[in-house]
Amino acid sequence: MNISLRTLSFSYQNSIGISRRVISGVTQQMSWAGKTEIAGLLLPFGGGKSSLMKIIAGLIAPDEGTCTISGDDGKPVKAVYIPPVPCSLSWISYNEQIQLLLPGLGNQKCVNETAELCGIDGYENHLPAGQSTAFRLRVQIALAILSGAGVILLDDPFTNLMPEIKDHLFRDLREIISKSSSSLFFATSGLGDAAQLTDTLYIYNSLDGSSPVVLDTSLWTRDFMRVEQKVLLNSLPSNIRY
Amino acid sequence: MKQKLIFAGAIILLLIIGEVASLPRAIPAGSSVLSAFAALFNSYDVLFHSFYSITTVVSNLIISNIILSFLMPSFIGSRLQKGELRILPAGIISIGIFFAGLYILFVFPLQHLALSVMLFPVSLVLCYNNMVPDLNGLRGNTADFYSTLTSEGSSVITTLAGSLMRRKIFTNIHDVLNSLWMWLLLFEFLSDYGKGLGYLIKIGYEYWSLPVMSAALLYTIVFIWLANLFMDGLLYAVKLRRLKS
Repeated sequence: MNISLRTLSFSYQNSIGISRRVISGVTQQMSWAGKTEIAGLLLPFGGGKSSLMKIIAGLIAPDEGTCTISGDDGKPVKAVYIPPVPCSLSWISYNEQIQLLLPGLGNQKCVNETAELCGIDGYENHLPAGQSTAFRLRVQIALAILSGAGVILLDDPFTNLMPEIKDHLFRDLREIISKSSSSLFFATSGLGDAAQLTDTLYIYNSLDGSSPVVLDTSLWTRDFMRVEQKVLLNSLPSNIRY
Repeated sequence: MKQKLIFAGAIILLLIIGEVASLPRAIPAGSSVLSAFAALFNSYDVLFHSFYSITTVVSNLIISNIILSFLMPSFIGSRLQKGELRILPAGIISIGIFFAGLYILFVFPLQHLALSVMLFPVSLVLCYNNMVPDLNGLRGNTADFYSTLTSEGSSVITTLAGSLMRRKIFTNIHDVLNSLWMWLLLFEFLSDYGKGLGYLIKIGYEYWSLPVMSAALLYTIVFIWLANLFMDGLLYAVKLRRLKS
């Protein structure tokens, strides 16, 4: 899987009309084996993480530059954006959402298998309560896979989850990418989540055109990081939080 | 339920005070209210007036919700793509409808039609306003996720809005029922059509009889409460059926 950013720039106006440039001349090629690896991006809060993810997803257009996403064969792939707050519809179930939004799918076996893979089997007709964060997130991932997403862009959606639920979900995500045709790209401001979930991590201080620190985090775990914390934090940009 | 019990207790207390204090101009005596009840039921077809009012309210609500849910999603969806929906200034609109309604009642020979013409925009505004917070919730993150998920792009918000409004028809009817009752009673009171619960209250006013007016008001309150209970039961049955399926 490849995400290619070329001289990307983006600015937005805040609520009082002041323009703020959050991405400036970023050029970067991010490649990873989509079936076995998860790539990630680590940026401080307010560093333009969501803006970059939305540009990659095609939701907003950059002021300058281009962004392309392609599979291992070089062909363009579909990207589905999962925002920081779980937002799968609360008034209709997983099955009803498929009927409403992906009517051409037709293959019930595939729908059931995806539900099982994402850990929502048995709850296909369940209506999530407003606060059921992990369940709604799983529904979103299942829908993204069924929609034929080549890459699922996770914009830090795990922040409000309890650690044990998060660990469980991270383990399931590994299985999901190995058994589905979708790969994952994760953007976060938390080093702990990034280290635990990703295999390749691109660490930026800011998206000002400077090159990122690229780390192989495939062997990083929370325990490993606890031991190596001081060494790690000394080697990373100063405003990254653990 | 606690508030309703306190209210019922206060009414009974007031009627007892009216009986004891004997101040017919200020507080009606309990016995005279009871005789007024009997007079209303004997001389006027109370059940017919109740049926007439509830039919007007429910039919207006159903038509408003059908129009909102099935005919307006594309309009609402396109508005949502441009920005947040605003709650319509119900107060100003209602005053406008009130004066327009008075004029319609004055010149329109078909009073029943005039009543519906007056009540329908009020019903539509109330139902729309009740939906606005949920509809605005579709913007932002929800729209971002679903527009990348489907091939519809940003217009997926129209599909989501339609689905949301259709699913929440019963909740919407339940939420605006009381407000619409108030408007209907006012319109019936003002019209010369001579039908509906508002007309029963008007009888008391025309006879300048506090017991009759009190009896009609009490009956109206109890009837609306029972109608709302029935609606709640219906809503619960729909939810239960959904859960079972």
